[in-house]
Amino acid sequence: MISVQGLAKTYAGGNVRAIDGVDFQVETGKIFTLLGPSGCGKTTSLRSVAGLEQPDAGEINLFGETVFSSTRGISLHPSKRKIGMVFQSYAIWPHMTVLQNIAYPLKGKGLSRAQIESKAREALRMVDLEGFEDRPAPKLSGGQQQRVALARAIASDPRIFLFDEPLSNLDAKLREEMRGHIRALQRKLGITSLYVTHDQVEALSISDFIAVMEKGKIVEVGAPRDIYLHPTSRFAAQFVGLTNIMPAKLRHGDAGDTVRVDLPFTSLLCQGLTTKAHSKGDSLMVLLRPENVRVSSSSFNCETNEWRGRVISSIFLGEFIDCTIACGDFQVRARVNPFHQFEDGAEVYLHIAPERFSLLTA
Amino acid sequence: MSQIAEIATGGQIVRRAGLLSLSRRLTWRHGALAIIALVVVYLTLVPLGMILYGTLTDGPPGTGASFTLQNYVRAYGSPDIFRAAFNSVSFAVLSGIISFIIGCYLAWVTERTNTPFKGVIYIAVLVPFLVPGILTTISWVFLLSPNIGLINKVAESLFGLDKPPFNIYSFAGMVWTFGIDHITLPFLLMAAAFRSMDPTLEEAASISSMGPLRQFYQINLKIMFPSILATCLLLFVRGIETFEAPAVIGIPAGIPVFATEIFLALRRAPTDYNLAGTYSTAYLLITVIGVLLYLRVTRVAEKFATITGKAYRPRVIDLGTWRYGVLCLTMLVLFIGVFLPLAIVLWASFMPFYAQPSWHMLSMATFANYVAVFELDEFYRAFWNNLVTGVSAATIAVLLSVGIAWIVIRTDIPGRKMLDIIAFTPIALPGVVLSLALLWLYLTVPLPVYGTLWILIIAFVTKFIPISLRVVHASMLQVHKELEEAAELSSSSWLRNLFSIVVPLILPGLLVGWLYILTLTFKVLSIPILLSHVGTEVLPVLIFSLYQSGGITELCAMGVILTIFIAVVAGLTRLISARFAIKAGE
Repeated sequence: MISVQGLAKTYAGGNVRAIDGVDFQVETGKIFTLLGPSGCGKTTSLRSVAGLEQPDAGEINLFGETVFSSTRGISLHPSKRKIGMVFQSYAIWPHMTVLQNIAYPLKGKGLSRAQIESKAREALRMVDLEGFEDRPAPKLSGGQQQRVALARAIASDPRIFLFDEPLSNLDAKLREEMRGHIRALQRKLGITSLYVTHDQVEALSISDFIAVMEKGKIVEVGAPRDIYLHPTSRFAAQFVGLTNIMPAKLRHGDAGDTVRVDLPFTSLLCQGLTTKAHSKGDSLMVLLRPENVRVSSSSFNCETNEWRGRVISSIFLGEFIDCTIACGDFQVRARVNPFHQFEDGAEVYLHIAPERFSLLTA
Repeated sequence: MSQIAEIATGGQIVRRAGLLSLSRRLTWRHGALAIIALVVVYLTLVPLGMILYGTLTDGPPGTGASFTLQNYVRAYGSPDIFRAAFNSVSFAVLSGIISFIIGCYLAWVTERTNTPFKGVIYIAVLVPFLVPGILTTISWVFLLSPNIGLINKVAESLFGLDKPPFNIYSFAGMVWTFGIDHITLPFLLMAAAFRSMDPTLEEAASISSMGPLRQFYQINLKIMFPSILATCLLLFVRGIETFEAPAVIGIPAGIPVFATEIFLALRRAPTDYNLAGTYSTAYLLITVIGVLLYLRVTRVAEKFATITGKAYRPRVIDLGTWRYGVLCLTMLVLFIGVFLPLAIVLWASFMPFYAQPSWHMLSMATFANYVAVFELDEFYRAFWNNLVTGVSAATIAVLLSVGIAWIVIRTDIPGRKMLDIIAFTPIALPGVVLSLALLWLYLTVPLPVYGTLWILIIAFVTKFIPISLRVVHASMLQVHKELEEAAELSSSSWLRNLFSIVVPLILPGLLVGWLYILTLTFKVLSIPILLSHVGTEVLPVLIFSLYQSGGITELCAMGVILTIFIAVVAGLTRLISARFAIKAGE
């Protein structure tokens, strides 16, 4: 288990706050992802766990062992933290062969030469790179180098894995493949992992839990499904996927777990959402994911959650059509099945299912 | 209760382990770094402090004299110091102008024109880099001396003159000798400047229908101005520092410059260390101003996108039939500037006694001088001394540079920029001043350094650290930080990581710096001239003393052997740097 408490670090003589009170816990065997834009402090947090950076304050525990504590004056050397790390640049040592790369962390640990070699070969086998032992490291493709980096991280039986944007230097196809590879390997070995990325698709697909970071702070933690479908912060909603954010006012009166909110151009019925903390007339924000907004040139014949708009633009993107629709003074983005066709300026009907959007406190 | 105690002691253990590992990190890494920093400061600042101290006392080093301003009154009260200053500065400026004009012209020919045989021209210009300055200077005496000068004799017989047209023993002779010997540096720097100029800038100017002269002034000259200025300042500093031409030509001609004034003050009996030290302060002031200006200009030059970064293929100017004219002029320049000095030395090295080249003398050519050199004990001793000091100095300088570059690039230790600057200061220390400072230091401090090879090694290390530092710094910048961090995760031994990850990766750069410094130790005279004693002389010193004692033909044979040795080492350096694409120190 990784436990991080009150981590803080400033740069440039205290003028720039890289991270500002970061707390999180990673349960044993899970992948936990720090997701955010560049400069949000995700990499600084990861590097602090690795011991490559010295935070100004906070405490880091790995499976009960304190590896860093500002108050108790503890800072374990990175090599003593029993960590396997995969770097953004792979950091494969170019003057060594594949096997030498993997064997380096094993040396000086009291293992015999034969033990080191068998461990290194075992690690290579796990990343499907058998037969590449004596290849000079620079003679490998990007994906292969990444797998060598992975093997090097595995070889020394680390307590935890750290991934620092490991896929960002790969092309799109390879990235998808490696994503699956990392996920499968992590599952197989059951190693507690901390993963850093700015790519939301990567984060959603690989993680057990995601922490969305902004300006040195964690703004929201949750399972990928919750983060995407029911974000609890405006930042997470906007950063993870595209979303329409509309101002609304709460109107009580509907029965059970359904409530009604008034938008400037229509009123919507919401299902499955608790608004107990709010009272009538409170300002809220309605979050509509573009893929949940249905668009048609004829009416859906629904009593609720249907309203009209005018198409401003529709861009054909293959997988879907990206439609921008004017509804009163607002513009709603919608993703429409590519077989539809809308003229610019056409009158259309919009509909959203009562359970397919969420509410935020304004 | 026991549970609480357990937690408490557990915490205690953790804490101890943590502090222990923290302190282990501190001892190894920080200890090594602190030693490196201390060594650098000791090498560069302490001698300077000693010399300053010496100028303020009234006795020779190590005598515990009392403080006085008398040395300054004496030195600055006499017109000699101002004459030396005037001579030094005008010598450096004028010879620098000669070097720059010729070097820049040759760079233009090889980079921007379609003159034939560019490859030959390029290689020919590099040759002066290989020949020790003391040898070139002596060769110009062979060419332009009023009595034996080859060019004088030829001119006399060709034009029927009754007295020799040139006299090497003059200010002009000194300026010419140094100027023509230093065309390689401006050639390389200006060739690089030509190459890094974006040709589209010129094309844009052509489209805007500027006249060619205006275009040259408005575009080429203005863009290249920072590199021109930097080159000229570097030449100025070199000229101020140089010892060979002032010693071989200036002393007999009675033209004092700083370098020779200090040298003579120390050769005179009784040795006047204090006066020499006081001269050094004025000398230093001029070189420091030159170096500071140079640093300022190069910093400005870096801002011009045209000077750094990407290399372009410069637009080649079609000279038409003029290119044969340009070729003739270029060949004439190279014939006079490169071929003649080498040829006369080579000729003399085969002569039983010094004589003008002629068919008659050719029949008397002999290997006797080479045989004599190889039978000379002093030659082996000097070569051995040179090799020992050169190899040690190059190794120490490169290792220190690795430490300094690592501190500057990889750490955020406060004061690391200061360390960089301190390590760079010897670039402004003329060899004679550095030697004097070291003499002072080791005559005062009771360490067995004075009169041994150690003092030479220390001087070479100090003087050449800026060169190796630049090469190592550039190489280390190319090693991605994460490569080292990955190693840090693997092993807690900083030294092990440094030597198994970083050093192998920058090894080509280290080798280039190492070999370059080694060749310099075989060429430079200004440092060992004051520090060598009987038994510790190096080859340039041996050549200089042979010259003074009149062993001219033997000296030439020794010079040829030395030049061949340097050429082999330089060839090796070039091979390595070409293979690994590293720019050498210059």
